Amino acid sequence: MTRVAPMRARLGQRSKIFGLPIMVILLALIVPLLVRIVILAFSNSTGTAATLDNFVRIWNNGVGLQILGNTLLYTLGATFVAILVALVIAIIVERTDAPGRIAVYAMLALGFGVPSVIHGIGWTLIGGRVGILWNIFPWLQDVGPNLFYSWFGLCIVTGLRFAPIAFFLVAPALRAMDPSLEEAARVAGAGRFRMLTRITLGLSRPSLLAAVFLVGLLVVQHFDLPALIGTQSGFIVLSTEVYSLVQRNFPDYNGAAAYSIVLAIVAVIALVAYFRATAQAKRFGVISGKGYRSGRVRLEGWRIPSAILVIVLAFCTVVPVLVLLWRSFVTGNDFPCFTTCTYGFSNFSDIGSTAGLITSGVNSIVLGLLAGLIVVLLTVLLSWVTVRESNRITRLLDQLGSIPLVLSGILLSLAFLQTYAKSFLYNSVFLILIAYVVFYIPFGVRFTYSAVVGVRGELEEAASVAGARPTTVFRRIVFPLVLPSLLTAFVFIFLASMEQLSLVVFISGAGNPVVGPEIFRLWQTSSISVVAAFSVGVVLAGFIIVGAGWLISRLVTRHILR
Amino acid sequence: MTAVLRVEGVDKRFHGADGGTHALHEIGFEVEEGEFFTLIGPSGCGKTTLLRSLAGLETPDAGLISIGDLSVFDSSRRLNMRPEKRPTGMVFQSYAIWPHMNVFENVAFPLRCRPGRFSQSDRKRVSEILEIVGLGGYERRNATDLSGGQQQRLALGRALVGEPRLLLLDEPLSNLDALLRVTMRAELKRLQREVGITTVYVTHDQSEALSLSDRIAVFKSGQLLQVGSPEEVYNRPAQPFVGEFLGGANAFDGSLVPSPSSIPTGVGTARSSGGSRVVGTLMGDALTPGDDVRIVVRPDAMQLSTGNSSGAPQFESDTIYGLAATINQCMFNGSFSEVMVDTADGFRLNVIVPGTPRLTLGDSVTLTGSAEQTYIYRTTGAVA
Ligand SMILES: Nc1ncnc2c1ncn2[C@@H]1O[C@H](COP(=O)(O)OP(=O)(O)OP(=O)(O)O)[C@@H](O)[C@H]1O
Ligand SMILES: [Mg+2]
Repeated sequence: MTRVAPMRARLGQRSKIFGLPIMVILLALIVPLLVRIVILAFSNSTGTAATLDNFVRIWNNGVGLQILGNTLLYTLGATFVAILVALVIAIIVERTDAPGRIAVYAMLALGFGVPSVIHGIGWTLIGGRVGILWNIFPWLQDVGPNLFYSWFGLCIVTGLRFAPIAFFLVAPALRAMDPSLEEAARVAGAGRFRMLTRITLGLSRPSLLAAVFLVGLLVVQHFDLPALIGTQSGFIVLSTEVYSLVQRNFPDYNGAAAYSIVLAIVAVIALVAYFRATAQAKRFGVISGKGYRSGRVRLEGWRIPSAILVIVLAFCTVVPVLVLLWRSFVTGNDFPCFTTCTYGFSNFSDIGSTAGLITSGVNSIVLGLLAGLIVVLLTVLLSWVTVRESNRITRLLDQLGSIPLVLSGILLSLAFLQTYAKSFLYNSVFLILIAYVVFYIPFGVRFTYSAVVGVRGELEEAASVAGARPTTVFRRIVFPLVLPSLLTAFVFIFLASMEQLSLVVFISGAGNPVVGPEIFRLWQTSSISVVAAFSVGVVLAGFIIVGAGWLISRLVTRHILR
Repeated sequence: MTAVLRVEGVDKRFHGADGGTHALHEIGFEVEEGEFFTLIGPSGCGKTTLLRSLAGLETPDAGLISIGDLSVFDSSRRLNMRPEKRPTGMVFQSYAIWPHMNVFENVAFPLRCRPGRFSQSDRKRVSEILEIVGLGGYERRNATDLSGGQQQRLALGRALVGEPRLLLLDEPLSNLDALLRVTMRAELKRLQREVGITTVYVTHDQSEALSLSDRIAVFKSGQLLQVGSPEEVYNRPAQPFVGEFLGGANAFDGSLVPSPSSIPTGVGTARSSGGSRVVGTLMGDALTPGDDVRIVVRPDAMQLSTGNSSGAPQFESDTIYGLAATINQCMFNGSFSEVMVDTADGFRLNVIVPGTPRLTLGDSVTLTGSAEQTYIYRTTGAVA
């Protein structure tokens, strides 16, 4: 036998057919934005010379450090509130026999799905200058509103807004926990409370840590609530500072870019911590995946008090929505009004006569659906290629798919504004669609990656051996098997895109209105009545579409996949 | 007879942080038309890697593979035909039944992947195959609602429907329970004979290999040790490992000593490292006295006799030897017993004794073996 030349590894079929085009698309989408922001941050205002001046300014003027400090304080406070509320709810709902589970889940789902800007406006009706709270407790009239607009109030409001998200991150691990581990603690002599805090909490530590860092990442980049509440008392964070630098009469784009890069660096730290925590979560073998249902802790006398506690907490996450619902039916500007209200539908009819509102609603829905579709298709292919093949392209794809996670909405908005201001895309809905796609790619990757990992490789190999080309393998085997997860991802992205304010705040205008900025602008300039009615309409439309999506996914999984 | 499968110099390394694995060492063999060819070896020896290389699911670093007249892999020409283009059918260890398709669609899939519309004759072909594998009438059944044995037939039907030149089976019986495994083994053999398809079968179960195969290839650590008919590999293992693996044979070390001139050709005398005399068939040429050797004898190739209190061999000749031993353990196994003994010269051997011998621990016994069923190998030539 003669020695023959060794076979050099070649690019897999999947990388060639799908990986390369996706790589080109992602590079084309992301690289110009990054380049633009970096150039802005490192050049002078006329763009004629490179300089570090923009960062030096932040460092030197004192305000910059204050803002950085505010951002950290805000992130810590709001994350703490969110995790605390979520944990208390999750432990009681998932590990004990307290009643009211369905009501809690329903409220948290509502809180989760409602855009932050709507949460914020609802809260200003509760705790703002003429808030309901101070009407009920008049002796707090003096300190109440100031407290509400301060760091403290902002953290409470933001924490309650992110609590449902934190809940949905930690609840699965708690639900999947093997109750025998808890029972062992009881047998060993631990009381109920000790068991819940030492064993149950201890066991869920990895997923808890992951939730902490992910929520921290979301909070540090968050814009809506600090803009609605914090700025009123001069509590400025990085994201709102970027906004105000751009919204000035003489915008300071260079300073804004520098601030947004600082923000991205803070985000990278949170993201690295998050990846470490999730890597650890995978190694934590004690949480068994089986759906144990038995073995909930019997609370006996504590059942009802616990149930009341979780229902009150969950209620707090939706109370601003309910207040807005109430407000939307109150005609006239006299609010809060407990006995003197006049009710009617006039606010809703005003929606139609307010310029841009209907258009923004339609735009948001259509763009959200399109973004969901595009992101899901793009990322399922990306995940498929990266799960099944390992080469230079897939490694790059992996990284490209994660980069937008650290690019805050406000940074991207600035980058889109500066990159496309002179292009035909400016002022068009397509620019907003592209922004949505870039922003939600990492989320799509998270959903689709785990779905593709769940498809055993042999199922695909069997199809290859049976004579199927890679495209056929994807279409006939992979796609149908991950379809249910794709629908979940699609619904998530649709809902989340409806929430967007910061991502589009600089690029959405009269020519391409979407709901987030419209609500924000309307709230700053005119009557709260229309804002309330419109918000209610947006929430309703969102949930109707999600409901329809859920129905379709049930039908699909039941009929097409059989 | 023509070779349907030709494998030449197929070499494969996996690279890894731990220095990687040399999974296949220049493997070469041929499989004839209609033959049932089995790859056997211990876990991790590269059987699956080789089978997947035949299917095109794994790319060897070097070598040549052709199926029928078709060259499917040739590293010197940088030819690597994609799996979907190769005329192979494959049954996976996990069956890889597609859960979102029913029984009919699973089997129809290979035909649907062909150019042209799915025709009436394709439909007939699917029904025909389902009939052959005993799943007629199950067409509309959800594929995941089948029993283990039925899923196995389904996987087989799916592999056969496209009339491949070569059928590849990777431990298809290992997921079944013991009873079903025996039934399905017979069924598999019947089907293979009926369809007449050339088959490469991977297993690490020696009884499966011996009962099903026309020829067997024994692997160890990525190396092909011996190819031959079941009788050949069982009765004339080319290396100690083959005997140990296929017959569960005992092996111990010794050295060759001069034989009396009366001894038949091909037979030699050895002294175990503990000093006992053993005679056996010389495996390999130019074995000369003084060589270090490994002595292999299967558990069913020795007689065990009791009642000799002296412990000395009862009778010996040029081609018969005896070993004194004591009983260490005795396991009754139905029609036979597995007895573990410690020989006087310090080896632990397994012996199979028919029926239920009356043995107690510590009994002195004599083992009698024959040169015909005892094999002597040069130690240096063997693969460790
Ligand atoms: N993708 C891979 N990457 C790295 N090493 C691998 C890979 N696939 C197999 N190996 C290694 O190659 C060797 C041969 O593996 P292979 O799966 O072919 O063994 P096998 O004979 O089929 O074993 P078993 O009977 O357990 O199925 C093993 O050492 C294995 O660890
Ligand atoms: Mg294997």
